[in-house]
Amino acid sequence: MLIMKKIIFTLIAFCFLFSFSFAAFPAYTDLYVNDFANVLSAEQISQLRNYLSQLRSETTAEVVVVTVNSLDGYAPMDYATNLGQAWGVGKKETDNGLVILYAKQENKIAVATGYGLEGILPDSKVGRILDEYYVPNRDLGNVSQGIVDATLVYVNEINQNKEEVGKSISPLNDLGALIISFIVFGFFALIFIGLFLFIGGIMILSTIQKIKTEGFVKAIGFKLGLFILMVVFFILGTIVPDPYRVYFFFAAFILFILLTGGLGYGGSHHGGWHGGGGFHGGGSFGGGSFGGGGASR
Amino acid sequence: MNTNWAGIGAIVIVPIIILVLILIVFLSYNGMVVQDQAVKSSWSEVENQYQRQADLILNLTSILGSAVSVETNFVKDVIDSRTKWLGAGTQAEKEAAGYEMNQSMATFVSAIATTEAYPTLQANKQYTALMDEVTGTQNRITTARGRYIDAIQSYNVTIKQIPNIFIAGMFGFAEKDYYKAAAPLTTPTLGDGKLPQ
Repeated sequence: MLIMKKIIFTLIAFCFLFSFSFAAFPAYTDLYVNDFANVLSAEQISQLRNYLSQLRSETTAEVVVVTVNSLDGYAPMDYATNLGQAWGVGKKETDNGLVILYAKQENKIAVATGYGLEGILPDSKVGRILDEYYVPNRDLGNVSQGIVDATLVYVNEINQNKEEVGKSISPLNDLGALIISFIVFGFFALIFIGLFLFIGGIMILSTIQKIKTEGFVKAIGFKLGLFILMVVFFILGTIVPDPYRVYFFFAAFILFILLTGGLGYGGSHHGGWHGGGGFHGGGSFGGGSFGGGGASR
Repeated sequence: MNTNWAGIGAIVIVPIIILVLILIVFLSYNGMVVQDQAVKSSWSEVENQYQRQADLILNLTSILGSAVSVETNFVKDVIDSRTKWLGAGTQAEKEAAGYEMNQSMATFVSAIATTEAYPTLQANKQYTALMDEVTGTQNRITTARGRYIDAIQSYNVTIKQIPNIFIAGMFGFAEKDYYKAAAPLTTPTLGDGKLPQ
C-alpha cells in the first residue's frame, strides 16, 4: 500500500516536470484567437474566429491572433516567430502559418509569416498593412479594432492567393520527415534486435537438433553462405564511394532480414507509432515552420 | 557419438554477435549522415539570407539619393561589408564576412531609423517598404544562424556519443565549428542621437 502511494506520487511529480518544460510560452486554448491579455471584445473574438476558421477550411492556412500581457524581455518579432514555431502554426508540408501577436504592456504588434506565406506576404507588405490598418486605430487608442482590421486584410490577401498557399516548399520539411523516418527505423531496428536475440535462442536449439539428425553441413551450410555474403556486402559498403554506399549496406541488410526470416518465426510487426493526438480537445496546429519573416510596429 | 558443443556454440553464437555489431554500425552511420546533412542544409539557409541582405544593401543605397551621402561612414561601412561578403570564398570566410555584414547593417539601421535628421527618407514609402524587408532579413538571419548553430551542436554531440565515437573516424565525420565573433552581435545605440560621421 505504501509502495503504491510512493509510485503515484512520483508519477505526479514527474508530470509536473513535464508541464514546466513548456512554461516558456503559453499553451494555446484555441486555434484562431488566444486573447490572453483580454484586449478584444467578445464580438471581435467571435468575428475573428469566423473568418479565421473559414480561411482554414478553404485554404488550409492557419492564422492565429494572440494577445499577451508582456513580451517577457523578448523582441516582438522574436516572440512571434518562436511562438509560431513552438505551436507549429501552419500545415507541415506547406508552412502556411501566420501569427499576429499583440503585447499589451509594450504596446507592440508583431506579425510573423511562416516560410510558405513569405511569397504572398513579404515583409514590406506585412508592414504596409500594419501601417495602413493597424497604426491609425492604435493612434486613436483603439488597438483592438486595429488588430481586427489588419487581420481581416491579411485574411483577404491569403484568400486571393489560395493556390499559392497550398504549395509545398521548404526542403527543411523533407529533412524533418527524413529524420523522423530514421528515428522510426531505429525504433523498429531495436525491436528487431530484441526479436533476433530471442530467436537466436530458438535458432540455436533447432540448429543443434538438425545437426544431431542430419549432420553438420546440411544444417548450417546455407545460412553460413548467406552470412558470408552479407559480411562481404558490408565490407564493400565501407570501401566504395559515397552515393553507392547505401546500396551495399541495404543489400547487407536485406540478407540480414533473410537470415533472421529464415528461422520461421512469424514476426509480429507493431504498426502503432502515433505522432500524438495533441493535448487539446479541438484539434491542433499542423506543425508548420517559421523563418523569421514578417514585420512589427 | 560425441557432439562438439563448443564448436557448434562458436559457429552459431559468433555470427549472431557479428550481425548485431553490423546492425549497430549501420544505424550509427545513418544517424551521423542525417546530422551532417542537417548542418549542410541549415548553413545553406544562412547563406541564402546573407545573400538576400547583400541584395537589399544595393537597393537601399540606390534609394538614399540625396538624403544621405554614400560617403557617410555608416553607409560606406555597409557597402564595404557587402563587397567583402561577395568576395568570400571558403566556408569560414563566408561565415565571418556574413556576420560582419549583418553587424554593419545593424549600425546602419539604428543610424538611419532613429534619427529625425532624414525626414524626406522617413516619408518615402519605398524607403519604409525596404526597411521592413531589411529588418525582416535581419530576423531571418538570426533565426537561420541560430538553427545552424543548433545543428552543429547536435552533430558534435552525436559523433561523440557511444557507439558513434568509434565509428565516426572510419567514415570521415569530424567535429565541426562555426564562426564566433570577437565581439558579440549587438545593436549599437547612438547615445546622444548624433550620427557617426
